[in-house]
Amino acid sequence: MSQPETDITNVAIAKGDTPLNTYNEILTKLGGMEKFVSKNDRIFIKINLNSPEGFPVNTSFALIKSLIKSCKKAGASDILLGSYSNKGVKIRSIDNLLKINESINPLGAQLLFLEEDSEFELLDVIQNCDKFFVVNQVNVDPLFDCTLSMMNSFNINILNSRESMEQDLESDFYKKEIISKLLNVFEKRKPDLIINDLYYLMEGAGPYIYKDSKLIKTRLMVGGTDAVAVDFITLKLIDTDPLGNPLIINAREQNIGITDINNINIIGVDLESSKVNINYCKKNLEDITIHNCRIKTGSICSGCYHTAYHLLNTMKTYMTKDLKYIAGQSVLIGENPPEPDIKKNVILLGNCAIKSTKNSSFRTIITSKESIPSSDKIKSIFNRKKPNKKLIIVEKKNKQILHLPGCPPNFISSIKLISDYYGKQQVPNLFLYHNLMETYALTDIKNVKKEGV
Amino acid sequence: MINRYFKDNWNKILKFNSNVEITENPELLNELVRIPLTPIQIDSFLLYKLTEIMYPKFIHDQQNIADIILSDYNIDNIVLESYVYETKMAGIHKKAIHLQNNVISITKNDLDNIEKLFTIIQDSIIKENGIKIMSIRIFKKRAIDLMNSHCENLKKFSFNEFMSNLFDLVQKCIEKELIILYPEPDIIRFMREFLSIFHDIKISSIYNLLNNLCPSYKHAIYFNTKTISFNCKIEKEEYVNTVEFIRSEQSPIDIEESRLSQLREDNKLESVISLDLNTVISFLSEIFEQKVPIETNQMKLLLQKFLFGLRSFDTHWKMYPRPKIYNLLIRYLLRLIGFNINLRKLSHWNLPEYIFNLFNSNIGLNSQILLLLTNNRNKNFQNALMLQFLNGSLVKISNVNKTEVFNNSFEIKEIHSSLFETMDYIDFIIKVDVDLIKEILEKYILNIYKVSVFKLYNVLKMAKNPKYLEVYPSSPAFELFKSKSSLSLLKLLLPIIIDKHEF
Repeated sequence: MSQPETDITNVAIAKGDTPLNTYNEILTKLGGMEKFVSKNDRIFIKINLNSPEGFPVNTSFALIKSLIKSCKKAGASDILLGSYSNKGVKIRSIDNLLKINESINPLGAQLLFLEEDSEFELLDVIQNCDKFFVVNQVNVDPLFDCTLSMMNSFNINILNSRESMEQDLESDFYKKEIISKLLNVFEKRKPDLIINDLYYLMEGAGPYIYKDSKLIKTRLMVGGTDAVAVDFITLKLIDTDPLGNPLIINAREQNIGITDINNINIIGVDLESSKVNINYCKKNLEDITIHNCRIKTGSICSGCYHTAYHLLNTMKTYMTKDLKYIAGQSVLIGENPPEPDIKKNVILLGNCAIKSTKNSSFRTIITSKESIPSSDKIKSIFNRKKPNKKLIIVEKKNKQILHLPGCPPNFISSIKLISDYYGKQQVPNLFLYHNLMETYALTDIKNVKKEGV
Repeated sequence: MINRYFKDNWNKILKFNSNVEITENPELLNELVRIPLTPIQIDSFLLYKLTEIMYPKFIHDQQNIADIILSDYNIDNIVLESYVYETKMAGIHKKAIHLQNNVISITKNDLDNIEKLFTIIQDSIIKENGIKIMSIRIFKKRAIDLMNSHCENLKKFSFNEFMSNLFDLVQKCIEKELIILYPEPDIIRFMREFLSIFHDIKISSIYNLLNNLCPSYKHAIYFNTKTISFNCKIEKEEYVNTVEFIRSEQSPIDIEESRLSQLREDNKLESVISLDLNTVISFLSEIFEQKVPIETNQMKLLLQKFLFGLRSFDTHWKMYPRPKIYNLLIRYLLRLIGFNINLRKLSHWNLPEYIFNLFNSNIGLNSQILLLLTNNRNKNFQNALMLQFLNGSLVKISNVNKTEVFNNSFEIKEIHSSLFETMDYIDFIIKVDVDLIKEILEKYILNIYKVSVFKLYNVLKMAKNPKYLEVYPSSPAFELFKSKSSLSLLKLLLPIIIDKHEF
């Protein structure tokens, strides 16, 4: 795809001593907030508000506060904040816990509950506002390497997904649907200002906080007016080939944004000398090492991969003691996974795994025992001879199998199903974690139950 | 130059140390000295033994040391005084050899390269006295002045005043590098890094705060090693604290309960804890080896070791009276009603991991927490501390101006919104009442031998009352804590805290 010659965009890279200094540096390099905000503008700021967890799962509130203040100073009349959440929790529930509105209302800003009211649909909001800003926290992500600003603009509510239609593995409908929905937003309305905050970046496991998650201080932020270009440079900064990223590839194919580095004018610190190496999420699920748990994968669609990734990391983070006592668990994921090493506690994640293993040998347990047939016993009474024992083979249905249906399976229901399968005495740690999730996702679980997952 | 009160005591210690080798039964000398820089009297032989055990572990394990006192002014040779101690055993100082002024010559710039300076000093002393020193202690004149003024007041000070002054002295000397040891022991590096976390906070103020929160108590800790045993009696009555070290006449073998019981009766103590001193020393050494801020993984490991020690009742530590919680009948009855409390099965290997993971996901890897200490009885705020966490580790504790925080309201919600406008973003405000802390200190630390499931229940009930504990904004963990009844919370938590198998 050739880019029009006139399409040259500025992308600012700043490196600072504190996140707020770095943010101010970005704004200065892009011409100041006055360049983006006119008097009485109604501004919508898209942030990350994924779950009621701490930083860096959500955008830094210190940064949001500074952004609101600089918008107000530049003359903005209304400032609206919005986000879609993950992990099966509604934004209103997050607000009830974190009291975001109570904090930002005095500053003249308001948090919208986008998923609740059709009036607040993202496209409606961004089309009706004067300016659309995206402030995105960059963390590692299992699907797209890292959480890019383009991902911030739509709801990837994978962890709360309902059991969706059957997927075609080869076409990988799930990932394609996400990408198309994400890019759809950009086709309708491009953001006016994008900031990728990677001052502190979560590596190892993410974008939620898991046992292997670690925060690294890059001291970097990237900003600009073209989301694709900003994401392109962000990927370059973390030493990843942007043209290997499915979002950038699709944006390039659809000619959305600038994906040619020659058309990106980098302002600020040098790109090459500022590159940082990070540890990405484990691409191969079998590489996630969990004590007493064997992971076997077949051909996996991205939806099941995504849920399995989060589920396995949750097990690793919160089930150490539980799994020590369970002593043997196998998780089979995807189509035609290999047979488990042991036949007890086999968890089948996703419809593909459930259906493709219907005739697998682990479904039955074959036991053999030596016994005397009753006819021989009777004969022996008359013959006065000791009857011979015969080997009898018994085939039983393996009851130690747990199905986590769905494509992808619902994350919260999966946690509940695992907890119920083992029982709270067997998995007290997971049971507490499930109780914690229920404190903020109760309404969503009830909805899921009604739908029969 | 050195305070007389300090010097006389120091000379007494040196004299005793040099007599130990030539006396057949030094333990029978029954001579009392003070622990340097303190008013605490101690048996000379006990101090000798403690130095023999602790000095090589915490300070330096090589022989011979030089003490150098430096002027604060920038002159050609800033050495004011210098002494050499020939020590056959590390830390056992016997005789101070005063060095002539021209033996060691140091300029201010030399202090920039302490390694090179040490080699020069070492060579000079070998040439002059034929003693090869393996470490040096450099005292700046300011440190000596501070020590002198501390020692001058020792006779006047109450115990708490002495402790506060000692904490201030140590904090000043370390923060301002008034005392330099080379090679630098881990303990000094650790203390320097640790003190850097306490931004503008005096350790003495934390000591005073905790001391004021503690109710009256009278306990003893019986320390035991292969060669010596002693007990440390700690007492607080009203506002008066006392600490006493008494060397045990009995042989330091396995401590029997009868001995602890006798000690308790003789001294009218509430309880006596027996600890193996070497275990305590090795745990402390491990802490001092850590780089501060301590990384989460290291914290998990340290907590694991601490919990392992805690669960090893009867093996690593003993207590008289035996804590009720270990009573078999009580445990059996509790188990019948669904509470499995067996502290010997404390899940030391799992708890730290689980706690830190939950803390990180609820609070975040980076966070700022404002801790408000209230006093409901007096209807006022006692303290406001800001805790800053980076990558899950505590990196800074600073004082917050009380008037800035409690400008108009005592309502935690209003404090949060007013601070949101004026200060950096605060992730959480935690309001704790001193009565709750007192309750925890009294029930779980000072009176651990009386701890029972009902007391646990009472404290949980108290913590659920917003009058005593409030968090704003909330977190899933705190919501769960509030939403469950104390009993169901205990039932939920006990299987995590206690391991399942009774073998």
